[in-house]
Amino acid sequence: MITKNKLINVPQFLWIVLLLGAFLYLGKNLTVVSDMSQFMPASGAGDNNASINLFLDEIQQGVTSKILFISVRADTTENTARFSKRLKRDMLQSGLFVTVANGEIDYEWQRFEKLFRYRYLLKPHLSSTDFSAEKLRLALTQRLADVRAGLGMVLKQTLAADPQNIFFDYLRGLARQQMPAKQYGVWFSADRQEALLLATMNVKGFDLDAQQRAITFVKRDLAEKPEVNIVISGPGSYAVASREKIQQASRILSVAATILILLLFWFAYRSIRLIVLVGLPLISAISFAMLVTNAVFGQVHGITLVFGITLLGVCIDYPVHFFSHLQQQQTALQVIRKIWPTLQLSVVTTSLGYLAFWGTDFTGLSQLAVFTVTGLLSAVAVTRWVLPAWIGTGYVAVIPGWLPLLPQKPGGNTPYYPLLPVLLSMLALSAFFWRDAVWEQDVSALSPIPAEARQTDRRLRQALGAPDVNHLFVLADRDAEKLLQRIESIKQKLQILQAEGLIGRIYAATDILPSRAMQERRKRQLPPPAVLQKNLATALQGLPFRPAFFQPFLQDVAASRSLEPLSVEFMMQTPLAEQLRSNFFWRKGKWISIVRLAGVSDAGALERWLESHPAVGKYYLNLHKATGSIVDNYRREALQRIVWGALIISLFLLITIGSLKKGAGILLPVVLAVILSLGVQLFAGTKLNLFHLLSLLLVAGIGLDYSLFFARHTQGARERLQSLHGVMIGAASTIIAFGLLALSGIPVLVAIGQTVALGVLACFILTLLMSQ
Amino acid sequence: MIIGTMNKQKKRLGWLLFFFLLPAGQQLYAAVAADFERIMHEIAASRKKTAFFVEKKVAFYLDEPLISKGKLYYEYPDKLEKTLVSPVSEKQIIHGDEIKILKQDGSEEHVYTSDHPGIQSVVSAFLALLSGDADRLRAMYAVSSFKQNGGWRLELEPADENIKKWIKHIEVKGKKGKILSIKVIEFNDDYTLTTLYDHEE
Repeated sequence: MITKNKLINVPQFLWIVLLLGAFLYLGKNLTVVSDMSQFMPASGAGDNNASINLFLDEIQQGVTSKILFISVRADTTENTARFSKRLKRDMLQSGLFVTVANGEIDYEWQRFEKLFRYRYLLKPHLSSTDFSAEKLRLALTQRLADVRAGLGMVLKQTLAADPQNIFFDYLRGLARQQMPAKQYGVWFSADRQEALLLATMNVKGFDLDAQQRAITFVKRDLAEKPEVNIVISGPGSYAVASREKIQQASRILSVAATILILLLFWFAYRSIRLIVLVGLPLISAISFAMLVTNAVFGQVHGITLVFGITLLGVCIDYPVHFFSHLQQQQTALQVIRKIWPTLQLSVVTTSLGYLAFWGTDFTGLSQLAVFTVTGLLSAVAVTRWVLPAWIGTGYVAVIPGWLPLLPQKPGGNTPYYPLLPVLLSMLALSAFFWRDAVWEQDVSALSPIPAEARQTDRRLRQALGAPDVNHLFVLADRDAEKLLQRIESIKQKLQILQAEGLIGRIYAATDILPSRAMQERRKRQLPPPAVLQKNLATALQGLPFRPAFFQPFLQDVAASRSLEPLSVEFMMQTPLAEQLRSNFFWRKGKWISIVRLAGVSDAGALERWLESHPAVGKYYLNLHKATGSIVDNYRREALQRIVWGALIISLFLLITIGSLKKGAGILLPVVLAVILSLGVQLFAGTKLNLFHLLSLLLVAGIGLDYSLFFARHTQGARERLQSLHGVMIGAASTIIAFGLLALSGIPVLVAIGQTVALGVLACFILTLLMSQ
Repeated sequence: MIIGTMNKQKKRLGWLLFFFLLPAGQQLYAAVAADFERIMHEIAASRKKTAFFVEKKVAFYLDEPLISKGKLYYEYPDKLEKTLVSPVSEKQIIHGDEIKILKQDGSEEHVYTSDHPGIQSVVSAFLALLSGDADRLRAMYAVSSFKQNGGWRLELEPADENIKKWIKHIEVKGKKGKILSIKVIEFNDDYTLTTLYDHEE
């Protein structure tokens, strides 16, 4: 019978108002960011570390993240080339792309006209000897050879002003050196089977939907031609592909989990009302956790959000305990009051565990602490003060007939049961010594992208001659000129290695835009008009060129001697802006520049050289190693905090309970369960990562909760069975949800799913067997 | 009415003349116009061709014509090598859409014709002519053919407006399956005349 309680009392009213308020606030203010530097250490290795963070940020949000590598393959080479050209044209017309390159060169003269007059300031390695009579004659005879080869038609556009082809050489130097081979005017792979394109998507910030639209456009553009096969790769497609994969997996998983858990709850409670109410604490927990985190930090990180919500899954356990203890004779209020002390202790200890993450250098972890603690407290508060009024009396859990048959201790001492789990756990612990690689070192193993797709990416990147992302130098300065000068000095030093064949090519922003100082130096090398005129006259002797024809050349060189050097701002207005921006960009009050190396023949030798040349070496960043070490630090920090959390929890429990023996009895099964969960995974060949560790906190929290409920003083066998029922239903729902995650095939989710499902199973069995 | 009869007779004569001359006109036209298909068919008969050449370039930036001499080697479908002996020893190798220039000083230059529409249309015309591919030539140019001095002459007008910005027209002369000269006239009347002799097949 449901008593005629008022459905809305003060707590319910407050809860509704707060929840509505939270929805309103979140609707207006929730800022979810995916800025990677949030999850990087805030302080630490000083200035260089800061620029590395800015660079990682750029990788994620800047031009680099918007690059697509595209391969086109059709029945014949000629058709492949034709489709490459058509795809390029369609892509540019769609407006979804900023640049599309397929090897076709655009010789629309007007595009570069603005830059043409700066050619003597831009061209690298130009010296005064290039204007000697001898060198000029060499250049002119080469032009004659070009004319004889039929190039005169094109050459005559610039011949009069630029007989040395200075501007063309400058542009050609900027084009990728390890350019893919061309067939029918477009880039082809080395095996001449596929045409290659390089595109930059027209996307602002981190807009996955826009990226998705662009990628879908490429996939669909030639869909009506069945003979055309298009492969898309590159950083820009990664984010979209992983999101697609995660969305796909989570759609199936959440439907499956919901159905299974609903069935479980129906089996346990046989009441629609209870099944509806069981979700309220969780919904409240997530809403308030988002609200408080956003209010404290001004934003919530995407990773915090996803991982935090997963961790808050434990909140389902609170109403489950509550509902399992419902009895015919008692009102819901009486029931919740009865289990409140245990519930309270369970929530406080779990929260303490998460609080250990507060105040780390990793903002992400701090956010996670606030998020989970707020969530846990909200869930338990809703269970305690909001739900009872809506239940009244008359509900009772369905205790299955086999439940009393589970091995459980009737009270008193049982020396036998604890021994087996202890032995098992010791065996599991040995896995840590038995396995030589316990920790996952390879960050890419965490990527949801299948290894095959990563292989494709590597292949296309190499074919397109894209620089090796593993060897680069990151430099930063508020002053663009100072930064450009520093790049020039580093490049000059690196050229020694280039001469030795240790590195193939150096890509630097100064190839496109030299520093003002460099431009001034080049200006000073230009010969005075009278000298040049004399040299040119000498050079032209005996050649069939009309001498007066080269008047523009004389004028331009003379004008260049007093030309104001080209600025960054000016360059950013030219067709070369995109190319400059990929290596030189403004971020958070600084200019950041990347110097990239290609064709590193011996990485070890390079690193040794850099160690002995700290002036260059201090800017060096091996991206693979750097992310690896950041992940390492992260894991170390998390591990430390977890140990601290465990100590705080233990201390708190011992003090609250006031008995070493009883406290140890509660803690021991949980500790053993954690060891078992990790040990089993290690024996199965899993390498541990950060997400395994963070999941352990959830396991420990749940385990303590079970242990406390088993250990609580009960009145009679019936109530003990009810506690067991609650724990069992809670464990079953957790194992269902996380067990499904373990099947998702997405590395991070598998890590969380495995650890929690195995851990909770171990917790359930061990706390059942060992509880006092 | 003598005058009237005269007029009638004149008229009749006119018609007679007309009917008599019509086939003659056709015959005359046939005598002047050469059969383009047949010319190309005859050219296509040999897949490898060797000949000596003299090339004369006249351009507004040159004081005097640039003359070069050498040997030309063609291999079906798209390979053309020009070995220069005068004024310098130099080699130009065209293969598909790539031009490789091996200069006298040992340096090498690669140019892709597809980067330059004007150059591409000239190179394509050369390759289509040498291979005797009538369809390929007609895809790019409007072709008129004439009989001349016991041989034939082709006039090629670029079909594409974009190409007309670079090339005015191309004139080819030959005899049976042999091309004797190719003259490329650029939009500003600069021209290149390539004369071939001593053909070997």
